Amino acid sequence: MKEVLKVSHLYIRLKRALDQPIVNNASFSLQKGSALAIVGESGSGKTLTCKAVMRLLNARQFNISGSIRYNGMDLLEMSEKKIRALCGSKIAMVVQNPMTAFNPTVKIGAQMAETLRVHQKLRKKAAYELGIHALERMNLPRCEQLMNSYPYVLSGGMLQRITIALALIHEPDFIIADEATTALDVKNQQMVLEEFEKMKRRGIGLLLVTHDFGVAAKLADDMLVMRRGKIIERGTVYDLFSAPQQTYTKELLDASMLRKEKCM
Amino acid sequence: MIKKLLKSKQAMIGLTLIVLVTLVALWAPLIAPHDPNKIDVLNRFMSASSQYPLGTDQLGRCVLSRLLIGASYSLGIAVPTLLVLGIVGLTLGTASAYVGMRWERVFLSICDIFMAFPALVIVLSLIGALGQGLLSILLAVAFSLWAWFAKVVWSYARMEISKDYILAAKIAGCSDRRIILYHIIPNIFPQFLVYLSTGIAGMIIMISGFSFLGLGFEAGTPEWGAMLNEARSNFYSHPELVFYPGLCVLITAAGFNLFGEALRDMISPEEVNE
Amino acid sequence: MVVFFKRCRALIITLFGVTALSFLMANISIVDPAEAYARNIFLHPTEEQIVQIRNEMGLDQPLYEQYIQWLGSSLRGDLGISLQTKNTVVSDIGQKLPITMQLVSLALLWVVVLTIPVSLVAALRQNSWFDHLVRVATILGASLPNFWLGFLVLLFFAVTFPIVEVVDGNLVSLVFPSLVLATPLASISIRLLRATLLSNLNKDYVTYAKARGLRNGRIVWGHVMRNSLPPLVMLFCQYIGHMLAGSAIVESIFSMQGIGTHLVDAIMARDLPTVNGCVLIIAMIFVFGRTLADIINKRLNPRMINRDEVLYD
Repeated sequence: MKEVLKVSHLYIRLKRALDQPIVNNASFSLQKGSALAIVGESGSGKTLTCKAVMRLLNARQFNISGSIRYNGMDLLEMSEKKIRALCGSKIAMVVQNPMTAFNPTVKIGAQMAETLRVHQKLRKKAAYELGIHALERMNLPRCEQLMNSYPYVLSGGMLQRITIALALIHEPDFIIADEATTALDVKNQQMVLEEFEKMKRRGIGLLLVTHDFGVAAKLADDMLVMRRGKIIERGTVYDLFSAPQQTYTKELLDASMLRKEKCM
Repeated sequence: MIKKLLKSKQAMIGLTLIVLVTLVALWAPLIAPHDPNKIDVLNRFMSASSQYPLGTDQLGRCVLSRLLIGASYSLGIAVPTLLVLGIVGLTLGTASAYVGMRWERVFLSICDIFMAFPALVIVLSLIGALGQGLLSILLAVAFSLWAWFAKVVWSYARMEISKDYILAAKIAGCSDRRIILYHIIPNIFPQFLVYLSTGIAGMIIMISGFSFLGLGFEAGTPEWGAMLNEARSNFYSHPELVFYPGLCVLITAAGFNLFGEALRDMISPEEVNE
Repeated sequence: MVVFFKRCRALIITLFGVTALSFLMANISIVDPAEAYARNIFLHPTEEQIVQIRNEMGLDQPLYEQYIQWLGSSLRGDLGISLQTKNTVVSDIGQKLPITMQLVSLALLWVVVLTIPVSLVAALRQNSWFDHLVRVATILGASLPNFWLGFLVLLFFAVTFPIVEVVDGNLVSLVFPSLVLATPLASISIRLLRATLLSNLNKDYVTYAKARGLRNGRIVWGHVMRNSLPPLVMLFCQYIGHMLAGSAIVESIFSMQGIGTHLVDAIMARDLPTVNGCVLIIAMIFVFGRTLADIINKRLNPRMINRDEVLYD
């Protein structure tokens, strides 16, 4: 199987507190068409890890060392211009809160079109048409009208489908989904999970960040448990669920099971 | 909050300047080496000496004494006016934001009307009507600025009222008076304090600007703006007489601005982080 | 359409209030305008002469009727005759206003030219030496008394380096006065824009825009700026009226004959028709500036319903 992302010995430190790494020696890899879930409580460093992959961390604030290899290139060494060219085309992201992800003062269509036009030479009109097609593929209703609306008139579920459509347009090698279902209601969560399932089948790698074991169990092949910046346990989803080694993992598992029971 | 304020260098510089000027304003008659109004035509335009530390002006008056007394004029006008404005603004602003509906709209359009008049215009009209004098200046400043204060408070209060905890307080059965006094006002107070602090700086500059134009004070009053105005005819030969009073205004205003801005940085952390 | 109608109604109410207030302010004078006018014609007016003038000028009628008359003639563009210059108030203002307008427009131009790049660099390089410098400079700039700065400039350039004729009538001579006039507004607006830029730069949509692969320039100019401008636009348009009046100080220092000095002179001479006219014009410009700001902001940010989000502070 082809490896699309390999993170090794990743350290992230705050520049003003260099002695305490907030991500401490993280190593993992992501295969084509598979899904890797990073679970852990808030503040465990999972979001930072993802942001580091897309180079979204402010370089004046964070000190990052180690290597993040994608197709043989080190993303950390790349120029900002090159990494931006990869982001949104070969490496895509599905956001945590779709309601705040778009610029509220610019219409959806314009924001989609500008994304398309950064990555390929297109006329404005062609970009719009491509955008409409992408939305139609997500089974969104009245796509032309959608392109002409401002983000704040749309629901979270709709916006999340738009971000997924946008992520898929350029056939990415892998997608980072940081708590992509957390802000959604149950119905929309279900829909997003199905989309992720389809992506996997199309051979796209998925890097899931979640605190929801249910989501991880449904989608992921492998799992990492992070705590205080360290990866404390790793394995296949089956192994981790059936025989967690660390007490922390057990606690997390129990807590999420408890929640599920209460819900029922 | 107070601890953080004590740690901020900027806030401390500002506070030191404010305290310094306030002390001078309070004790000016005691520390002034001479009578600020004593005219001594024989000793005009004297340069600095041990007797006159900053020299004398075009009428032979001691410049240092006049500058020191000037502090009490500037602060003496700005601080009480500001207190009145603050109370008016706080009352009207929170009340209209809380009551809402028609009253709010009426309040806003009245504010709009008053805000359309630049302070200088109102001062000029009132001086035209009431004649020269401190009272005209005070009335005019209050008259032209109350709407700004009330509207700022209104916008802060509006934002606070839309928050969930106010709803929670209402559900819990808090009386309106209690919600306003114990919830809204304490929560908008830090922002309001910033506005007051920077507002006082603006007011000091404004008032000295008026007296520079010859409005408000009798001729010969040792007010900074007025001193500057009197010195302007000898500007090219004795620029220092123009320089000192302006510097005093700058220092006082900078004190309040530095303090206010430091406070603002503290209460709006989202701008400072990341 | 409904919005447009509502805006028009609000505008008319405000204008009505503004005219009423300015009329009232000018007419609560303790000086009897009839007497003032009579003194202008006769050196020692008799009681009968004053009464006659009062009747002629309609000053014996109740205040609200005077107001309606004044409003009616104002609407026809007749603001009366100046007691000082004996010209019509309109022609006097028509003569003085352009000078001040030039001054104010140039000052506004300086402010724009300074504000946008300076606050952008300061916000993008937060906590750098440049940012700290900007913060100190803007606090100082907001604390500088206009009249003092004017004299310093005069002293420095006119006396020390008499290259440029500072007091003259052409555009070059406007450079220094307009810079002096621009200083406080520039300080306030740099501070304001820096703060709104910073809070926008930290929003989710910027992170996502980067993740979509947009370049920094595009993010800043296409998204962040657009979201940060509305408060600044409001500040600007509100400030125009204040600058027109505030230019009195600058005009006085640089010996210019604009509307500011005209107004001060009129007050000193108790020239009520002129005062009324000037106040009315300045207030009108303020009201229209505000409306303009509303319209621009509506375009920049369609969601903005509340136009009072930022007051200048």
